[in-house]
Amino acid sequence: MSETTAERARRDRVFLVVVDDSPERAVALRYAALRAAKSGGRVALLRVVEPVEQAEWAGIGAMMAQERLEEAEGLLAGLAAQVQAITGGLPVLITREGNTADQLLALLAEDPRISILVLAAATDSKGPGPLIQALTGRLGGKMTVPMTVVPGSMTEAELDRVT
Amino acid sequence: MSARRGWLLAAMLALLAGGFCRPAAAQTSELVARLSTERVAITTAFVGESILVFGSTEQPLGPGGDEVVVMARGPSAPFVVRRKVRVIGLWLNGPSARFAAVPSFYAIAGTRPPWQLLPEEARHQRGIGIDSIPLEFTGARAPGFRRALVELKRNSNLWQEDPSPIEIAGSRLFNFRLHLPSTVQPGTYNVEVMLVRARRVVATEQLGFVVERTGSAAEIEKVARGQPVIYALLCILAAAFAGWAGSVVFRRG
Amino acid sequence: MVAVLQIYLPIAEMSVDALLLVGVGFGVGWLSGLFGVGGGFLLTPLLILLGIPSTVAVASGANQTLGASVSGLLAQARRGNVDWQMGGVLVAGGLFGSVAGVQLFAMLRRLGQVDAAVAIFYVVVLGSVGALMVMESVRAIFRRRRHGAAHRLHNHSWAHGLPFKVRFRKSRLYISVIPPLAVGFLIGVLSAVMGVGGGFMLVPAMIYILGMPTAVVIGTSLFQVVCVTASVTFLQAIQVGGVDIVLTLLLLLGGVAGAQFGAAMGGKLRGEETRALLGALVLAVAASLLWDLLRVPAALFSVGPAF
Repeated sequence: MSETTAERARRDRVFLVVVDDSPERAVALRYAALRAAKSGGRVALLRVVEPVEQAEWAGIGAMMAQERLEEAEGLLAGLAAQVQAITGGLPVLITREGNTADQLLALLAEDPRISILVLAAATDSKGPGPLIQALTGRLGGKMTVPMTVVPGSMTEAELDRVT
Repeated sequence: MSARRGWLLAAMLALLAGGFCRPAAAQTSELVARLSTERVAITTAFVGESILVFGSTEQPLGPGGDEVVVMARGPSAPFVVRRKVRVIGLWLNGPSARFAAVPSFYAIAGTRPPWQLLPEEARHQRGIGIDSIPLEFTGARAPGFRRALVELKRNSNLWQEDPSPIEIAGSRLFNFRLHLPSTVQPGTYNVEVMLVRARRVVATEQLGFVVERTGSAAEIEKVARGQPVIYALLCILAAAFAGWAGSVVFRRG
Repeated sequence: MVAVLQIYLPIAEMSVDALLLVGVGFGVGWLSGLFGVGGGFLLTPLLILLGIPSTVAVASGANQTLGASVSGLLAQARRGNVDWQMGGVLVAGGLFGSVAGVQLFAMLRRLGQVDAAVAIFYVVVLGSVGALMVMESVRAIFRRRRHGAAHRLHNHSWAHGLPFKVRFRKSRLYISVIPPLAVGFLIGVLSAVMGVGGGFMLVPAMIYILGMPTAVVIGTSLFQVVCVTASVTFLQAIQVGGVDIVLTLLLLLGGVAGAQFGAAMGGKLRGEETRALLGALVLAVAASLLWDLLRVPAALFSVGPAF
């Protein structure tokens, strides 16, 4: 009985990947997909788009918001195909508008299915990236799920080995 | 008020006494006149200025005796007077008259109104009185244009006719306050003091003062007129820098 | 004395209340931050209504718009939202337009018609812009939250027949340079005569006429605005002599502060109602300028320096 609940929980757990424009997002994406494929679970992709700055005309502002959202959806659809190739299943695609950290925390609060947040650290000397810095520092107390930080320099073979 | 006047009189007397102490020349002249200042600075806080024209005559002044007329003129500049006309419902500038040389400032005063002191011919010849200011103009011929120009100059107090009579003190001393409004133009101003006897001008004294802008506003104006290319580039750089710096200073968070 | 800080404007040759000008700059800056508009189209007519000569109001308005747009351009450039290639073509047209506009302005001044001409330009442009804004907001209020609120007009096939086609990589366009040159030219003329940046007309033109993606439109339009207002400032200063740097800096001081506050509030306050109010304000400025043209003038004669 407890076995099956644990089994279901494993199957239903969601690895959330934040899709930003950094080069290391591919690493986080691959890690999450491999983990889901090898040990069960699903992948969710979150893309946070910047809110539209005020434009001269309300109609143009609406058009900008729409184009930005469409662009985000196009990007996620492309990444979804990569995830599907590894896990065999389609990931959950989420687009939000606003500040990345705020929207991420709001999503975690709203959606209890998300069990692990997967982020990749930047490889340059400037630090792991603004999101990781915020979530391990200023916003650390607001996290509701564990977070896995994947070094951005890991190769595909290394990722295969650790998952 | 009376204390101030007393002080003024004392200053006048002191200055004139100084003048008379000098050897011979001054003593023989019929008319001696001076200005309280020879330089008026337009600063950013300029609200106008008054200049004292004062002097003395050899013969006693007043009814039956000599009379004094003071005439001041500012630098001349060309002006255009335009009349508005209605074109398809809109009021636009229509015919215009161009006045080649319009004195930017003009004031006339006498111990009595000058038109009582001098015959019309003499007044016209010397340009005494606003009616006698020579105003050559080209363009529209209607008399309204000249009248409009005169009216505007009088209303802005830049042209003054008998603002107040010249005061006489002790029968041989005279003084007159020349009021410059805040809108005076910079340049060289001439003040002509005339001694009138028996409806004729018997002696004149030419005085003058300079009105100039000073301070940062004057410097900016000088660069803008003298080196417009440099000024234009400075404006572009200053605005761009101010906009950038301001957004850094006021950025929230 | 009254607590006003009188300051002498060296080019306008008049004494004004410095705090009033900073306040006007702040108000216009606040509106521009709130609604993402340039603000020049409100600032110049307000200066004219305050008694600043048209020549100074237009030239200094352009100079102020330059300063107010610089930081926006830098921010957009940092995010890679500027199509420099398309911007370059627009600016080329804009520079010609500003030269033509300043010639027109100088000619109107010689004819003594500059005040009326600037007012007429403003009545026409502000009247149509204000009316469109009110209409757009009213329509949005009645049909709130409908999908696909804005559509591109993909019928610019006439433009495909024009020669001198160039590939604009960032905008993902392969079009003739003639439409962007013409758009830049017209905005340049308006900028020179009205002392505005022209983003109001430039941004819709870039989307609907040139077919540019919205992501690069704001940044690219700011690039054109900065370059063309710099050109207008230069030409107005050397040809007409109307740029008053003291006036510009006072307006900028209030303007940049106001823009930051407005932008901060803009995030919270996005109602179509407030946009309708902006439209009404624009219409009111146009109406007040129109009234000055229509009513019997208090003085039939005016006297001005001859050029």
